[in-house]
Amino acid sequence: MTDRQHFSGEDENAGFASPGQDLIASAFLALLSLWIMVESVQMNNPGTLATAPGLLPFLTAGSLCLMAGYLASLAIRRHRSGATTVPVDEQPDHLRTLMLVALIGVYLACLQMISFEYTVQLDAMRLGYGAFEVLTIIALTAILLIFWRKPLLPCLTVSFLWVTLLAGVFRYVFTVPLPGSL
Amino acid sequence: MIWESILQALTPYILLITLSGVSLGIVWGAMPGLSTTMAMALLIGLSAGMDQNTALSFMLGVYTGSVFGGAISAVMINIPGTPDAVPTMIEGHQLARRGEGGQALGMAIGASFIGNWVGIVLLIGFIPLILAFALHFKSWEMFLLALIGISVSGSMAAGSLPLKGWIAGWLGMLVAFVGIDSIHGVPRFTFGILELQDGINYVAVLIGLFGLAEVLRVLPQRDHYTIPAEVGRVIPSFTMLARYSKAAVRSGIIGTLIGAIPGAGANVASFLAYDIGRRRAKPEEKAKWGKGSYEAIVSAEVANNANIGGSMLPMLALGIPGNAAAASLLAALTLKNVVVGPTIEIDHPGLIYYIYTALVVANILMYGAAIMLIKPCVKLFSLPRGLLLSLIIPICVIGAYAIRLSMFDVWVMFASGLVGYVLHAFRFPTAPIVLGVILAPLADENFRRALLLFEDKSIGFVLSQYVGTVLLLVVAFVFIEGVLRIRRERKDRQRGLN
Repeated sequence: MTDRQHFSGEDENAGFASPGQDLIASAFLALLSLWIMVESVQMNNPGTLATAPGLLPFLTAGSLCLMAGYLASLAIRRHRSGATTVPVDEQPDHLRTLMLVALIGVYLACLQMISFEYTVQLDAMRLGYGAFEVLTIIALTAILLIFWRKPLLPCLTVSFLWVTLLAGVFRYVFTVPLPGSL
Repeated sequence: MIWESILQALTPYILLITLSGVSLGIVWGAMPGLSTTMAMALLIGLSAGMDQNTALSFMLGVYTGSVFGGAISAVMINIPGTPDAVPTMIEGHQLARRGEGGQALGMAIGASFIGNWVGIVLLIGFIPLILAFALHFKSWEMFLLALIGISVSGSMAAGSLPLKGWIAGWLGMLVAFVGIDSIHGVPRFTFGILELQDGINYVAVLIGLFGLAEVLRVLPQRDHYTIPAEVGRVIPSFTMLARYSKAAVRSGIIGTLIGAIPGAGANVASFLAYDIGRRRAKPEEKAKWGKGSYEAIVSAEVANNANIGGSMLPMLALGIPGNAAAASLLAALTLKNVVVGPTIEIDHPGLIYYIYTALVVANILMYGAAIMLIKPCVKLFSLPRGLLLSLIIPICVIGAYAIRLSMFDVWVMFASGLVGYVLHAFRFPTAPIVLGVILAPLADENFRRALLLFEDKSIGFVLSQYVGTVLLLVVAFVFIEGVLRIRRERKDRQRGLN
């Protein structure tokens, strides 16, 4: 640390991105805020302007639009002054991230559509194993195979043990039902 | 009532739950890539199945444990478990390389213990004053307070470019407007989707932003750290701690004050205390700074732990969380129908004393659990990220589902995770979004009530509400200071380019 340094803030990553990225962000934010402003004006208002349901959303979106404009102006000025990229510590692997997003998306879609549960009665206790456990074991095994890079058997074993433990804690300790269960 | 609340926090079952929370927090905080906020956000789902007091003790245990846990990986493998452990990493790892890792960690444990005490004492000391003052707040003042919370959070989150912090806070507000309007019952931005009428569940947003987004960001990266063979003896030396008592008290006050500012969390607290500590250190100690200084570890660790008590101050007294981790705690309380704020002592008598006791208990248990868990934690570092972060995905799903037993919330969590990932890539902070989501309903309702009260009144009347006018000036100051900071930063960068 030097004697004179900038205040880095709570989130160290936050700050200037490349001017191109900031311009894209400001364009998106401007469009979003304009859309919200239109929706707010069209909102049904049973009372006066002071209590209009769309009042604060309109003002929030309006001020967001101004902020987007300011961000765009900063990005343009930075682009003109020759700033192009901002050094970052991490090198993201977008392809692997995309693969992960797709896997989780498919897993959630299956969880949404498939519901079943096998139950066993043990004295007063009813033990269940349902769609959540089965689908999560499959999805987690696939994720582990890609990102942990171990053979199928260890991935499947870890996945089975972890999901069964987790599901057991939620089902029987905290009595929270799980998705995909009947 | 007071004693009853205190004794409730000391029953064997609650003590066991607190110990579980503390231990889980320490292990979680120690794992690189798993932050305090992530722990708090994901475990809200688990606390959904507990009663109010159990959930509170568990969450406070996790909070206390995870803030300290960050120091373990910082010292032993030179990777901060949590962002606030960076100063501890700078100093502690140098000591570990000299074979003093155990002693450095012992010092971190002692400092964390003291830091928590300073935070708790200041919390207990200041809360009655703030509550007495806050009871006089009306709609206008509450609206302005919420606005200050969101804008200050934005300013503090993105140091060099507060504009991005404000944008994030404003986006959070827009998310919170979805659902049935609280005054007229008019649906807002629901587009005929039934699930949106109840609004967007902010716990799902929290889990997405701080859980799934982190997994998406960190899991595809490759591991690059080596595991140390030996930790050494981990016993805090109180003789050494006593030598740095002045630095500890100073850092404790800094940590608590920073914690009370919305958006400024343990990260700002530990860096600020570390920097001030270096300036104030004696020349012979200053020479060690950056090369393995125990005083530096004390400064940073006392501050980030004192921050816990500080962050509870605005949350309990005003309903404004001091940081994202406190926001998670607020979410867990809301699930139990506990509304914190100026009327907390009237609405929930005894709760505040329960929280004080739970904090004290968590701190004492943290001290013991930290000594016991350091060596197992170091062994856990051998777990690769690919394994560790993959295992978090089912917790995100259950956590989001458990709140309202709705798959819709799981999709909200997924969408929030993607949004969090994109925002990170575009270098926007995410913590102000949470503050925005939580404070927008408060702002919305009170803003419209205030406008109704002021409907036929002059500007002079509005300005004669002195507390409100002072708060209005604070809002203006936050934005003006932020804009000036952006200009200064831009000029400095231009100078750097030339």
